[in-house]
Amino acid sequence: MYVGTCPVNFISEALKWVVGLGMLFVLWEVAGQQSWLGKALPPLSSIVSYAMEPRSYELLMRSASITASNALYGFLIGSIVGWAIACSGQIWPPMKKGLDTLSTFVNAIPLIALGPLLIVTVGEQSTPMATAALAVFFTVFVAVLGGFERVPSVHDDVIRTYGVTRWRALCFIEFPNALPSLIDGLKLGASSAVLGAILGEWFGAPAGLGVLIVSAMQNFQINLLWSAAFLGTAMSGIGFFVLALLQQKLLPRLGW
Amino acid sequence: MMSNLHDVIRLEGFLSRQEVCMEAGNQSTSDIVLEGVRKRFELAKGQVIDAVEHVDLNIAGGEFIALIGPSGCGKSTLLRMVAGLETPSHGQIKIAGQTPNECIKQQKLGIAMQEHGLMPWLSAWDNIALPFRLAGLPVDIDRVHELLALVGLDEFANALPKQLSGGMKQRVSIARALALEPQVLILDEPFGALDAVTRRLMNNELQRIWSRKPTTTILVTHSVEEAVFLADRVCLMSPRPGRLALVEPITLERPRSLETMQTAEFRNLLAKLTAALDEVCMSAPAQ
Repeated sequence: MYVGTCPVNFISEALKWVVGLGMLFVLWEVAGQQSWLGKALPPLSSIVSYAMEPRSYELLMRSASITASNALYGFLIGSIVGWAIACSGQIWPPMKKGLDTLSTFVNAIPLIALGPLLIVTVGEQSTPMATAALAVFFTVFVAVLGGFERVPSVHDDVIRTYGVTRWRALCFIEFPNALPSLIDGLKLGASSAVLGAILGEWFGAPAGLGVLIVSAMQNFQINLLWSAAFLGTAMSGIGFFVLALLQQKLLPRLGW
Repeated sequence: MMSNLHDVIRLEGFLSRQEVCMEAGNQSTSDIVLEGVRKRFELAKGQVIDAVEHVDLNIAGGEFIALIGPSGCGKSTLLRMVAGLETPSHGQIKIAGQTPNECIKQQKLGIAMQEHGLMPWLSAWDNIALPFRLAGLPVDIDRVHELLALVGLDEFANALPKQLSGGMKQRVSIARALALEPQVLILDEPFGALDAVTRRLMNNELQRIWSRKPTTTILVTHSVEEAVFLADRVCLMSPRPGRLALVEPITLERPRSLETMQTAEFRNLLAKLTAALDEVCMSAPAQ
């Protein structure tokens, strides 16, 4: 959905967000103050003031930047691999079926089960990146395949009447047709990547939000736990937002 | 009776090819020969549909053929077979002695359909240049400009398809079909989605474009008026199974213009073919 650039529109859009979030925060604060959910849900103000303390602030930021870079690299690797596999099935149609099956199979293995294997193969340092990549790969793969499915039949007729080679058909017709679908996939992949990176850090990475979450859980540091969770959510949100913006601004310019 | 009809069709095809060859002087390389062409579609549960049954037709180089007939009579299927998009179940199609698939490999066909099929991410200019890129040839910049001018869209070179009207998109689509100087131009209801007024203007436009360089053309249309206005011969197909019921040579002088449509000759041909179309529709078994 394309949102116009009209400022009034933008302000009213932003206002809805502020009001919605504000209500949620107020409810949270009250629930925390009154201990409606016991100690597990502290008031928002106590979480914020904890996170702003220099020591915890520095710890949170250091961990967040590590997780962000794990998620980003994993996102890039996963998207490129998912995209490349979908495209190669398009260039060599006989391979398509096998690649579909392989990808579905890889996706069916729970990341939790792969964690220990990854620790052994790629090492603790790279595991978060690998799990992030695995989490993104299938989403992007399916999105690009879906994009190829939606190539209009009249474009297929063009490909056939001009006797176009598979490679040129992919470059000039099929891939551009799949672009909106790819961006949709990347949008979903952005949050999967953060989730994948945090999960990968649980398996014993040296640092990162995942490590922080595990240690906070074990030591019952509720404020730290919530701060880390917030940062993780914010990261997913930013990724999603950047790609949504790309979708809104770029696609209409490209003629969609 | 049937074999007589086929003889007549063959004979007419031959005569008109002679005439056109004499006028054009060469072009014998663009002959299209359809011999005993049939198409049977297999549906689920062993059901079959005979879309096209035994079509014999000779099309001369540089000739403009219009295929008309009721909906679902197989005229688009016949066209798709010439374009190599479907394979005949029986019989053969030869374009200048080659099969449609061989012609496709040499980029000898140009195609424009009811859905314009333009790439939404490419400008009008780039859409017309696309066939060069698809064929792996260097883009002939002069040729693309010339085509844009030919279809009267030089000012819209940088416009994206979504910024163009329906008629403009179809003009770009026809320019794209002409880009590689095809030996055969295949048009499947190119103006079918346009309103009546635009459609009439577009026909006039197409007539002008075609007259500049007569290319062997097969046009499928629902409009008898369009067929008579544009074609050298109008082929009327009967409903399923589709076969040629009538082949009518159109002797109207070229170049034709909107005034041509006012002449008695045009009106007579229109009336005759409309009556023939009504007749084949009525005699068809209810579907």
